[in-house]
Amino acid sequence: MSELQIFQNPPRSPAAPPDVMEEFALLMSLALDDLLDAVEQQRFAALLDQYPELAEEWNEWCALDTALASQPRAIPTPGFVDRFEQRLATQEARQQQWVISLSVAATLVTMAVVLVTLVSTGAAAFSAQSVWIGEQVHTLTYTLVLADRWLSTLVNTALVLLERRRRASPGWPTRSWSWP
Amino acid sequence: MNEHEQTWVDAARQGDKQAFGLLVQAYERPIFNLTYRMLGSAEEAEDAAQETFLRAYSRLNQYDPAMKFSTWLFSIANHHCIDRLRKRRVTYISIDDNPVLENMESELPHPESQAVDMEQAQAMQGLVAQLDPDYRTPLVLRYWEELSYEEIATSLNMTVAAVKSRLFRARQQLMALYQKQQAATAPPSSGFKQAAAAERRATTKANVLHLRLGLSGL
Repeated sequence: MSELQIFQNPPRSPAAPPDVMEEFALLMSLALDDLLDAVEQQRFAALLDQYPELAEEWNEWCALDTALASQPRAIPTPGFVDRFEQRLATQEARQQQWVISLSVAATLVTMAVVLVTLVSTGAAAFSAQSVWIGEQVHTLTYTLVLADRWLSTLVNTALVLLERRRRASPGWPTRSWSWP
Repeated sequence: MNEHEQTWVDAARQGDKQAFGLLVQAYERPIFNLTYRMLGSAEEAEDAAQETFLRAYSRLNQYDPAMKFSTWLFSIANHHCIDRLRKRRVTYISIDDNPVLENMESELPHPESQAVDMEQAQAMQGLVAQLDPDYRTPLVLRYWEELSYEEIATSLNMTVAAVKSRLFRARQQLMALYQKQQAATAPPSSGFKQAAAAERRATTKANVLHLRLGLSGL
């Protein structure tokens, strides 16, 4: 090959295959963070020697790294802490309201449940045991009436006896007694 | 780590809101930066950052003092942002009229460099916003918070190997996005492109030389 031909078509190094590119990219990432161990450093240098085009890639990564590292930190607008404290207070107030509302609702629901339970239990008992309850009411009424009659009879008897004794003795008042 | 941090955390756990306010003040910037880089919108980032602190406050009794407080906060913020991103049907991120970028701009010294840096910041945020959300957090924690792989792993509840892998994928994806963007916009106008070209020229030999020197010293 003549010198002119070499100048016009310089010998090109073989392009790095995709798996080598992938390996080199991983090594570049570690290299940017200074985390290459000895073996990886040797491999990195070997790949650079073998595929000079990778140097270009490496430099682009370095430039990207530099650009990233030089980016300023985004900062919030002034008053961030005040806005946070306001938001915290609002949230706490809302939580407190929520707890109160929940307690009131729970109490109302409990009361309603108790009331419904009592009423329904009573109704169920009444419908299921109506004969027994009727008997009990009947017995109670009968007992009360019986007791009333027995008591009135007893009192009237006592009054009659007292009246007899009064009539027998002349010094007693003339007024008569009776059970209502 | 702030020397008063543990005292503030202890006081906050006892219900001292003022102490928690000091913790918010100490970490508002890193947490906001993370939520902003994750969500891309200043308004949503503010809301997410506030929500992160509210969640931290309500879960203070779950905080393990063996862990750094910042790491715990990053963990909460990351989960919250991932949840938000999952709820989004369409991820649309506008980098125009962005108050956060305006804030960055106001901190820069010269108008010329402000314009270039603003453009670069917008370009970079545009690229970061297109990354897979799983790759965004490790990248933000690595570059903006300068956390070690171990700290990132603790924050994201993953192994160091997983962090290595995600950072590698993040950079790979970012580079692909950058190259795609450059191919789409033919004239090299962005500051990043110029910086990349200058960096390339200046460091090609230096990097290879550095590696070789490193090897020769083995």
